Amino acid sequence: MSQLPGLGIVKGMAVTLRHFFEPKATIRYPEVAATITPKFRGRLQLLYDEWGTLKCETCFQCAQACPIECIDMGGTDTKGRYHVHWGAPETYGERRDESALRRSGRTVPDPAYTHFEMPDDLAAVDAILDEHDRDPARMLAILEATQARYGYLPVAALKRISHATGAWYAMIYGTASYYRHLRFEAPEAVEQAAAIADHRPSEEAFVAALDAALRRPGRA
Amino acid sequence: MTEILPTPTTWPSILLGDAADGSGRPGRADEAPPFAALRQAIAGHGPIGTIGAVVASGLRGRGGGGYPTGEKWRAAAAMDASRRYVVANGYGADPAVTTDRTLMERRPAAVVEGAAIAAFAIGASEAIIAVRAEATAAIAALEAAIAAGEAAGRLGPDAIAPGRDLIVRVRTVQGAYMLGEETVLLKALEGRRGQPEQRPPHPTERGLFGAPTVVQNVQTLAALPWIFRHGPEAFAATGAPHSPGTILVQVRGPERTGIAEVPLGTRLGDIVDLGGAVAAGHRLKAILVGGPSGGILPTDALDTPYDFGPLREAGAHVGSGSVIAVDDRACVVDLARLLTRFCADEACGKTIPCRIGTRRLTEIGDRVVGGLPRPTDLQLLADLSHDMVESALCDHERLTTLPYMSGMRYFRAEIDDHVLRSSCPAGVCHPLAVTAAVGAQ
Amino acid sequence: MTAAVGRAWTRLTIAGKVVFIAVPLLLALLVPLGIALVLWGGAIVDFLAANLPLVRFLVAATAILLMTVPTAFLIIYMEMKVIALMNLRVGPDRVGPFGSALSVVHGLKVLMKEDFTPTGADPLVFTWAPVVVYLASVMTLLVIPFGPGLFGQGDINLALLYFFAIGGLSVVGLLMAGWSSFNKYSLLGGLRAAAQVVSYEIPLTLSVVGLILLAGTMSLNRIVLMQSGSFLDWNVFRQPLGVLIFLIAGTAEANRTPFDLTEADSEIVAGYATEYSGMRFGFFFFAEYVNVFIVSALAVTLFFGGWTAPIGWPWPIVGSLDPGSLGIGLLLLIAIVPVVATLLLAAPFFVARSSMPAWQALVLGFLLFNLLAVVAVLGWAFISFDWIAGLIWFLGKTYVFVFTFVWLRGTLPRVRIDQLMGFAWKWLLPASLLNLFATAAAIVVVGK
Repeated sequence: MSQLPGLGIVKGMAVTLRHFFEPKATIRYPEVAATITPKFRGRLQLLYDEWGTLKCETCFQCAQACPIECIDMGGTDTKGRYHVHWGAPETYGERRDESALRRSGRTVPDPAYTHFEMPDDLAAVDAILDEHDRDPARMLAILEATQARYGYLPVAALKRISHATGAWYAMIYGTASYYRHLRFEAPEAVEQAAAIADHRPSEEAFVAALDAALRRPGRA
Repeated sequence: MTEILPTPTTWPSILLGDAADGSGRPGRADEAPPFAALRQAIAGHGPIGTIGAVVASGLRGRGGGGYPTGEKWRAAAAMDASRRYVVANGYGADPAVTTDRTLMERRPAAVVEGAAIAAFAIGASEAIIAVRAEATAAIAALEAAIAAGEAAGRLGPDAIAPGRDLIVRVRTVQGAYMLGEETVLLKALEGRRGQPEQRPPHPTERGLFGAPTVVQNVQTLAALPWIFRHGPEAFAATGAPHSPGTILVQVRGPERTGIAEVPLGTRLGDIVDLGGAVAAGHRLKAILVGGPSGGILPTDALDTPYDFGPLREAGAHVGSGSVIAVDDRACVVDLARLLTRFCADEACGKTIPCRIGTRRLTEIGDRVVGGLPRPTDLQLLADLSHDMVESALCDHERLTTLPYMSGMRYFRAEIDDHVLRSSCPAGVCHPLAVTAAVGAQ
Repeated sequence: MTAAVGRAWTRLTIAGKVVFIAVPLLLALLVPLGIALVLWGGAIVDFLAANLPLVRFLVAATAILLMTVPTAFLIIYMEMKVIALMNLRVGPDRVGPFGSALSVVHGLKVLMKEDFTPTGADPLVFTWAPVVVYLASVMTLLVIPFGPGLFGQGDINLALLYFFAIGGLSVVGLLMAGWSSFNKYSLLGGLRAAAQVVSYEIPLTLSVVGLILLAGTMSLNRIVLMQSGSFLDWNVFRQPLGVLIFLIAGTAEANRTPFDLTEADSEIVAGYATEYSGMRFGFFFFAEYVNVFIVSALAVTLFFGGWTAPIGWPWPIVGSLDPGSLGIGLLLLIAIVPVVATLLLAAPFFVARSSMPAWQALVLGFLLFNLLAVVAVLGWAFISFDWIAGLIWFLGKTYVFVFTFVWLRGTLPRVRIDQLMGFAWKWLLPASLLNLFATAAAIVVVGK
């Protein structure tokens, strides 16, 4: 396209000028957050070691290294005051504190990492674990039994399971968050605790949508 | 319980047996001494002979892939391992299809016996039947059959010989559509997150708990007692030359919905006719073959044999065994979008092309249906589907592209109506204008 | 006493410490100054009045030096923001409104960096190279007329020659930088940059010679006056080829895309400026952006009418107001107008958004009143003082060209060094010679 010398340049400049007035593609974080599906693998999560303890030592290396400064450290210091990255990490009373925060684009509050309530007793979890012989290979069964008992999967119970079976907490969490019939939040009504097939609603929605699309009354 | 549709009497009834309609049909799985086939396999054929018999019968997996069963068993048996497993996949991932569950409710003994035969053949001491947690009737039936087998001494510890157990147990699984994929099912049985694994190594090499595992659909296993009772040659004579036997199909037609046992190789149109004739004033427009990740075939494809190879060539696949007749009141593009969205929602998220690609496919579908398609959308659809198929880790990703790919192949005119003329011939998609009055085709 | 001060010191906050130091310091400076002024003020004023040209020069030089820094900041911000918008990005967003304080922050950052001299470098030459480059650019601003009567030095009738001569001194600075860095790659970069600048100076100068022939003078002021009237009198219509060559050669002179390979990241790091850091690098950086401004300013002056308006002001200029004539009315005006205007402007906000507290609406009204007042004053100044009008037109036109340079940077890829040199010698030079001959022939034929 160079019959006229310079015409290509002019066309290019027309393109950039047009772009100048077009809506921009940038997502203006943090006022606007991109939609992240629950299974997105870029979420920042703290890891637990094989004994169920938090691996984070609040060493600030990650916060220091992060180019977009989306990591904050927080914790209580020796006087019981809550700070965000003030002072050397040694001054924190409990370095392996659950309250190490991060300012990432979480779209849903993750109940596993907020202040968690201890359920009334964890002896039931121990009983379930003994029943399944503390076998990590039967993790799904253990989780389903725990959910049947408590109505949801409390974090304390998951930690106990991690301690007892030797499976990493992160692995257990990963497993539990994959299956739709397992939940981490307490159900509103106690009756729901007994329901086992919680994947069913999404499947039923699909079947109903299929019937609607076929424009015929659905049949079993 | 789902209705069993009446089928022509010429079709053999291998899987459903005389529960179909009770008429005397050739080769029906009439009542035989329970676990006779298992006894015959253990006493008569031995492991290698059993595998040979299955190979000779030409049985192919009914889980949708159609892999020759005997080859699979041979591969697992050849592995040098101390433990092996058989997993029967009775999960039935397709929410709209209940063939596996119905089979387990009606003929649990066949399923249990087939699992036991498979376990004996490959040298496994344990067979696990994975069932949906909510299929309580099936679970109860299976457990009753297992109890009967153990009571008869055919199953349980030392069932084959002293020191060689043959344990069959039922495990309930739930919670994800992906559990229909074999490696995902194995993960769930191991209690781990349900994401597929790279294959090779196949489960026959390293499967459940690292041991060689044979994963078969319950329909495949349920055919085994019949094979041993009537002989592999008789089985090979049914169905199609390269795909002998029958398969359970769930037909969703204009008049009836139900399960039918059809020989492989049956003309697709005959299967569709089982669902009844199209309502007056309407005509058949398309056939959805294979479930949420199936292909949409046109009426020209009614002569396609219902078989693994021909369906794949036509752009669909056997899949879950679902055959849905679509009349002209429905919009093919909308249907494809619905299926793709389901597949995208159920994707496990392990690989990027699947996680992002299925999402983009649904976005394209939403744009096309919503009336604001981009001019590059169709080309993007084709390129994206090609890339997804090429880079797929598991079949879920590959098959998610089928609805749109078959739609593009056969219903290009309808897609073009949406994209180029912003109109929906069936009048389904909003806010597009309705160009044709419903029924006035 | 010292103990008391010491105790007080530790109790102060940082702001307090600043005040504690600054106030005595200021007093120490201002009081003697005030006394000096009082004592010798008259003598100083007389001296200045006697040497008015010197004063004028000093003021002009100071003004120009001071002006270059904000100009550079502005152009840097424009570049970042405009190129981002053209790339469908948002660009600087957080620092200051719409990221406008970012370039200032960049300048501060450059100041705070470590300023070192590499081992083996010639310290004198190394230190003075950026100064030479920067001054060579800035001194050319002395002769550009910003408005009628607004030029640094009196109506030099060799202004254009001065411009090109001083502008060419930047080559010396580049070579100084490249040589003194004690880095063979810097040397190569410096040589290439010098070659580029020198090669494009010839077409640049020759393209203007045709204009000089037409104008008959090298005085920039007179060239601008020659173009007064309407935009049809602008030299762009008399020397179309000249404008084109000038702009292309000017782009190369200013080291702008597509001719910016001396500062491209992939080309021997930063060329001649590789070994520079901190404020010395800042000088090179500023010099480049000031160069952009200068080339645009010269193009506007020579070809696009300088400070003249495109069309004559259609309405007769209203005589300047004399506020003093209003007498007591002025006092009332000052008292009443702001209040009334604030209330009037706040009323729509208060009525439309009842959730807004009243004081917020009033604040908004006040801000709007201020905005209107500024606009009104500017408009009055525009029509009353022709030098303000001229300045505004000049700056406006110059920044149109600056925008065009930035636009080019956002659009075009860069050329290779051999393409660059070939283009200068094989295409621009013959073209400018052709332009020159054509103009001369036209003058002879038409008998101007």
